[in-house]
Amino acid sequence: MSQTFAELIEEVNSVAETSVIEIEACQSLDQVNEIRIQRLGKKGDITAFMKRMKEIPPEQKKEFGAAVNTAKSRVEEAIEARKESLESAAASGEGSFDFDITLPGIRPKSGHRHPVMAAMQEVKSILTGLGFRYDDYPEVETDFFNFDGLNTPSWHPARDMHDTFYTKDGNVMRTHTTAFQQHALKQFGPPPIKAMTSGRCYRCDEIDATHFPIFHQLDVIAIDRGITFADLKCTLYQLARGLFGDDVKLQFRPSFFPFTTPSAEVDVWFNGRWMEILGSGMMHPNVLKAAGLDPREWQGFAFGLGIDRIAMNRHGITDIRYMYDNEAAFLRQF
Amino acid sequence: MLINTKWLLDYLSPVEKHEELIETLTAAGLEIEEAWDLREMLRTVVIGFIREKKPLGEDAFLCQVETEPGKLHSIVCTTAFTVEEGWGVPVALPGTKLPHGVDIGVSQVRGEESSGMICGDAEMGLIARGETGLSVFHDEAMLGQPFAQVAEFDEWLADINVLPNRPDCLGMLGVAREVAAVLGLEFRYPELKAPKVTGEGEPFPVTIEVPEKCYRYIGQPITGIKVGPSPAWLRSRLQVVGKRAINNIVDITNFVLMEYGQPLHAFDMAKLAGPEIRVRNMRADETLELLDGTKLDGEIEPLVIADAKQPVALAGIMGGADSQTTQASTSILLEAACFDPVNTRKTARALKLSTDSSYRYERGTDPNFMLEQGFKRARALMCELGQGNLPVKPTETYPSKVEPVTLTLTPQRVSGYLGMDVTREKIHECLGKLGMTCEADEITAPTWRVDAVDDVVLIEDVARLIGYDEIPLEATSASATQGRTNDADQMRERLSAFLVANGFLETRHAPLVDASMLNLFQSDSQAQIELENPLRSDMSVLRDSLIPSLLQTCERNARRGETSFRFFEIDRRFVKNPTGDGHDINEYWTLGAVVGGTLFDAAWESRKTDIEFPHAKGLLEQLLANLGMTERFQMQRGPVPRGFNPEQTGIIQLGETPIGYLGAVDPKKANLDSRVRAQLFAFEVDIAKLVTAYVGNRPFAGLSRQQGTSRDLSLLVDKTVTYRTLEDTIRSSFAQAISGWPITPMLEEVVCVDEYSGDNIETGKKSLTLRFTFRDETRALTSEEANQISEAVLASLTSEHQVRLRG
Repeated sequence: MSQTFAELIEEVNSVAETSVIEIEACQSLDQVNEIRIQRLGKKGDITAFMKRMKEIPPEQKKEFGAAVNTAKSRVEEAIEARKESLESAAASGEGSFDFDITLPGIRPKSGHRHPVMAAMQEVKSILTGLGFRYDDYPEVETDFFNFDGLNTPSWHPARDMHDTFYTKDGNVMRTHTTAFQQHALKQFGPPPIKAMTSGRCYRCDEIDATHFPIFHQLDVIAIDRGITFADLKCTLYQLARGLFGDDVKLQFRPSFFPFTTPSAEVDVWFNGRWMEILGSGMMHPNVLKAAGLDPREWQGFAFGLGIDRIAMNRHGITDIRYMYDNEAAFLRQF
Repeated sequence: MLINTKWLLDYLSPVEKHEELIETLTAAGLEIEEAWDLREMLRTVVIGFIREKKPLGEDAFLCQVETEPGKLHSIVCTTAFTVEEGWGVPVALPGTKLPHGVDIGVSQVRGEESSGMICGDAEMGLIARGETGLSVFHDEAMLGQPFAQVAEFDEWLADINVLPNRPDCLGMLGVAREVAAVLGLEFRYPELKAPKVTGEGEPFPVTIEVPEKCYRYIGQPITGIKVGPSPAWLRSRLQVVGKRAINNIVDITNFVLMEYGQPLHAFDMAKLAGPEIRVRNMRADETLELLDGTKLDGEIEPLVIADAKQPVALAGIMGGADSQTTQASTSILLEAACFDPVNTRKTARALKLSTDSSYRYERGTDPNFMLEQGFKRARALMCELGQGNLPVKPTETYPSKVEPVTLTLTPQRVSGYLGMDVTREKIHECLGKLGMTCEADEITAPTWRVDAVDDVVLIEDVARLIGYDEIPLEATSASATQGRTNDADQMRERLSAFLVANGFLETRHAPLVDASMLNLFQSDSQAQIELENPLRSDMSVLRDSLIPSLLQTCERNARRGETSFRFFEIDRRFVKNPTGDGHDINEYWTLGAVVGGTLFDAAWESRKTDIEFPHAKGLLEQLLANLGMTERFQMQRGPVPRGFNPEQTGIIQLGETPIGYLGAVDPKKANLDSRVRAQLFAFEVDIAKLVTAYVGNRPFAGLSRQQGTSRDLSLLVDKTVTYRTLEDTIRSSFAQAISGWPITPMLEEVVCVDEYSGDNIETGKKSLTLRFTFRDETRALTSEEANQISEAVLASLTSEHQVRLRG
């Protein structure tokens, strides 16, 4: 044996020493485990010292055994200590890992509602809560529903306010959702009636930043004994509070619609200015009469909102064409 | 209609602040399109002194104008005003925006550079401030000072929108009357001098042949007229409201039109055959050349003013070219009339003419007070400014007098309509201000209020003058009503929610499309719904499918660099019922969706999976599963829409009912933009059919506590054998396999867990691995039982479809 006993003891100690340093430098549990296998595994360095016991003279066996055991426990302690510190570092999110959590994820596709439809549904749901029922009505209409039944006979100058699309069969593309009034009055029979509809309207306006020949409206009627202008104001405030918040401010301006008298345009104070949001008024007696209701017995109010304008204002969309270009980059923003 | 506040103040006292007048217009029900504070608008108009003036042609000068000490502007001056060297005049510096859309810049005029403009008062929107209409300054200390500081004015100009019910506000007096009522000011009509009638002339006979079209006609001969320019006060009033000054006679008719809202016309009497005026229908063989050069024939037999021989004016719309007042005229016939609104409107529409006169007649003018006053105003001005004489009294024809309407209006009615207590005194106070006569509950409205035919109009007037803000917020009707949406709307919301949750973007397309986007199913093209008056050809028919619009949206987005597409729209399809008449148009609520590109939003090439037919079908299956409809769903072969690949397209069936189609878009047949690289799949579903099939409140099926058992069969099958038929066989043979058993296990699910054809599979065959799962509620099945079932199923599959088990 070229190596003296003292040198052997020295080697045992130095293996322990080096192992402890290596263990303390480990940055992952895997590395720690690797060292444990190198030192304490079946073919490990320290395990190998144990196997050399048989080569040791009997009088020195005790001393050698003690040295190897000390080395083993020093390494074991170092491993446990390092494991613990690495685990606690991992639990607190520190430490270093092979798995890179900073790589971008793989996302499911994200869908979005169209801003006009989102606004429309919001208005609808507020009004549903106020006792109005929603139904669908035709977009391809007759003169009666779009005009005559709304106190707007063919010679009426108010027809100039609408640039109407006609079909080749002589039907009218509804110019306003107000066209639902005579349908609803007939459909729901004697009042009380609180009804609404919404959807597309058509006017032959040239396309520019604020005009598109197809747009969305929502129209409402309420008919009962003793319905008043005060009821109308009350309902409009409830709607406005739902849409714009409890401290909303409204302005009622006298206006004219053939199917309401008195009539009012309503503006909402929004982003530091008055924004026109709807037209309203008490239903004209001729509209009630056209539906066979006695205007001395029944009174009603009606109002209609432009949904596109509400959607555009609440999102700060400045050009109506964006709304119908359907660019994904636009639609994903809402 | 443009209005100037200083002009309004001609009729009001005490004088109100101009700005307040503008604010009042809104409360009076006159919509303001735009309002201009002229002091603000004219802030870059300064006093410049003319240092040099050289003639430039016959009617222009080139002036050197000093606008700040030592700084000269070259200005070409084509104004009608005389200017002299040494005068200080208002100069609009380049960059100024003057009323009526005049933008001042540096420009070439008659070959000379002109930077700025010497402005007359009216060109700045101001009523003339002196005799000439040009403000002139002689104090050199004013050089360069802003005109608005030197000259005191607070005028505003406003463009107002007079709504169709209030034609009485289509004149300054009408507007002033409303403003006075709102502000509680005193309102006065112009003082009218009554010129003397000399009695030298012959009366001028007037006949109204069609009294239902012309209610009243006054004709007044005026002789000894001197036609010339109008004074500045008159010219400027026309100019500030955007009308051209022509000569004193024409200007007076236009001025009274703008003041009273009463159209007038002046014929050159020398050009009239007569003396005679007949208000009659034009005859088919007659012709008439109008002032604007339009040559009319008598085809539609419009109402005309005719002399003894021929038509000389288109009644209420436009005068004739031959009989118009010119510089040479010395005697005129002044016409003041009231024409029927509906007839005027029909004629103007038919002839596509619209004038200041027709605009007012169409909406309704007052045949009484305003007509008479307007007539007298014009007559007095013509005598004064045109130095005319009245040889005879006017000839008047008024076959049946239009009487004012009296309406009953009780305080109860007003209070019960507005929802606030309104006293009789308050009603009288409000309506009295508007010129109405109030006696107890009987209200008589003046005839200029053509809208006052229902009591609700009076209620509106009262509400307006009390102020809409004063009406309380109070629910006065207490009936309970059920607020809800309809079934279709609820279904649409379910569909949207599902699609949005699955990554679809909701779109809105114009339902008006190009005719080439119709008839995906090659149906009858006669059934298309075409517009009579489309704006443009690509928006001329109503779409009968949502898919072409969605494909266009994919193309547009591909051009913007998008590579994946998931779009949907819920809207109506329009289909004409070919057997029906006029209005028989079906509007079908439809869901349309298109999908293509990657399954996930992954930037990593290696992880990308492209959407294929099973993904698209799976989306639809999941959608129907959400609605509780999977069991009744299947795809069947059927008619293939144009632009689709027939191999991968089929009809969506719910039980026996077809509800739509799903398929792969063929990029060539659909003529897709080549920038759409992804394979697109699209489906369209009829929402009404989903509503019918939908069962709300699905019953709870219980939860099984027994373990289910599955068996897989890997089969070699002819390619033409569909999965569906195999599944059907499995289901029927399963029932047979367990018949006579003491227990009744249920077949829970049949799925395809693998599908393969290609290498290692003989030609004409495919490999399918089917898994079926069954379960008994009472106990777990033994493996012998399960095998027994599996063998029975395999036996049926083998005998019915010649399948072979794969090794």
